[in-house]
Amino acid sequence: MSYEIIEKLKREIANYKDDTKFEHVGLVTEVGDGIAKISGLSRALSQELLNIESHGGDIAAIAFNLEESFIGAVILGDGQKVKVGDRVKQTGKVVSIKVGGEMLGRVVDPLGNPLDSKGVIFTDISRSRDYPLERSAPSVVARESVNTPLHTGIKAVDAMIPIGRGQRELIIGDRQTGKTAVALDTIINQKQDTGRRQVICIYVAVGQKNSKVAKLVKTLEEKDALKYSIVVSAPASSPASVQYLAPFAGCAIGEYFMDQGEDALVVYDDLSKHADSYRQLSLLLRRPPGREAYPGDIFYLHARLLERAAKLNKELGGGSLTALPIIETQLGDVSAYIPTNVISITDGQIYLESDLFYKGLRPAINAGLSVSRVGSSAQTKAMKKVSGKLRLDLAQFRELQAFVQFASDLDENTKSQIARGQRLTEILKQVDSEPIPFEKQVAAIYMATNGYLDDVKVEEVQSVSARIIDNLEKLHGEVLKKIRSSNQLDDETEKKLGSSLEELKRV
Amino acid sequence: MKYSLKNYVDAFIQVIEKTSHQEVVDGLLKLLKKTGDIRHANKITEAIHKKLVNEKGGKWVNVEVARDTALKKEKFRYKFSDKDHIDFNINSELVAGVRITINGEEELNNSLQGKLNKLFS
Repeated sequence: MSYEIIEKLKREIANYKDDTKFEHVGLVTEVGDGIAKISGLSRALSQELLNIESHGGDIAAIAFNLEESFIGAVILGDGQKVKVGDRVKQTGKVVSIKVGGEMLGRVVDPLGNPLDSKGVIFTDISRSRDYPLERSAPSVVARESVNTPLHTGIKAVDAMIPIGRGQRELIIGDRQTGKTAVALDTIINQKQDTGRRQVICIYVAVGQKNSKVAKLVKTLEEKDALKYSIVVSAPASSPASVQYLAPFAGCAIGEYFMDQGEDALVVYDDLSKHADSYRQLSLLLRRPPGREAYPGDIFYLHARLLERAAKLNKELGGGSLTALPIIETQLGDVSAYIPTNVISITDGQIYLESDLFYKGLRPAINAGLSVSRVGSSAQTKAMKKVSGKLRLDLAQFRELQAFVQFASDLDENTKSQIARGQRLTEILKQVDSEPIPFEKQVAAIYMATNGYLDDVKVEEVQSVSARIIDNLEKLHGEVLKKIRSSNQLDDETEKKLGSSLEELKRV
Repeated sequence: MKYSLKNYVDAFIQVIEKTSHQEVVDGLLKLLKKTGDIRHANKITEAIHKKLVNEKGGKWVNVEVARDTALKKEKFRYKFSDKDHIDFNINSELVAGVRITINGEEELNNSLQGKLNKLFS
């Protein structure tokens, strides 16, 4: 074995060609807090990858500030190893990540290094491709309208706030309101949404606790969802520069699959922490602070990231990249700087409320404040048919909700509207990590909106409906199959569904 | 620094054209004491020196060798013009050979350390 190594080294040394020539170099003049000031390198490009030759080995950095006499660079590795006087060389490349199908099921850092101790990612490097972290978004000509649904498995979302493949839907809410759970359910549900192309899911954890990421990976593994997922993790302990790059790395991975004609979903958890890391970098680089000390280009940062979500036209393979950014609000304040920015960039938002969460309404989606601007055109006909009535009934219920306490003084019509609303609210409740296939959602909502549960006690609605749907699958599976295959609830299927529900209710 | 390095250098260069050299140097030192930037005096004077060399059309050359030999110095001086400023430094980390840096931007690394780095990177 040692003979082989020596032979290999001998070959390397013998084949070495000395081609000494002048190279452009810079010198580190100041370093601290993960930022280096570099003199020289007057030809460096913005966002160019630099190589700092430190005593501990080469360390990558990105040229951020190009000033008259120096460059402000963000160190991507261990900043402690960089010393004043270290030489810096240009690479002529922008930051990129190696991507490919072998990444599926892996946990990586934003530079593409594995974090899951499963060994190297690419056994055959020729099957990987370099994708730049920063890339311009597809043009208007390259896109087409969102037309395929991305089912989340959450009844309230799929019925009232539908998401289409290629859409950007914000998940916003206070801490501990179930934002990550909505995203996680969406990832898990992709396994059972068999009527369409398999969605490749990328979960980007920015500034999260390592324990939370580990728990999430375990859940994905248990639910057999890791095989079509990739986790990009930049935990709270990683430098701000790495946290800043994480969403762009996730997006680049998603773009690779989109360019292959596949459908990808990227969850950015969360962009509030991403904005914080960018603020930290900007302040250390002495860029002027703006509102809430964020730099002036914080809007552009998120706009250029989310604009890369797209549904490509057929000539370009028809792939899509759906983005689910997450924003954490403070005490429900959606009018803060970053939430308003991201709300205005995205195509709608799922608003989660603490009050609803503590009332036991989970997922705690505020249906009134949540919207989807483009998703309805991607909704299946079956869901559209049943959700129209649901939305109307719930809106009426919200208006009458204040009168619930005076129930005895109300007329029969109002009473029945309130009772229906209560049952609809109950049927929209769901537990974590158990997304429901779309055809079962259609059946459940049809059951509630058509009065099949009106005579069931409110507190029993969930158990009764679950039992009926379970029996429907076992005894009249063909009805659900028909809805799943055709995506429609035509008159014949509706008739069959109605009669089946009637029969099962009596059981 | 209270003022940027570039501001100090530009101000000094503009004043030195009109006033006697000794007075300007004294004035600069007084100013640095006043602004509290006296601890950066070396950095500032080096920057002024570099600027003066560049303005005269010369280059700021930094020659690093692993061991000091007078012969090498003479050899290098001969290669450059009189306008150029040449700094000689001993850097044992190079192991052997020479590394030349011009204006802090361009480098010719003909040292053994550089070759070893290239070989094993």
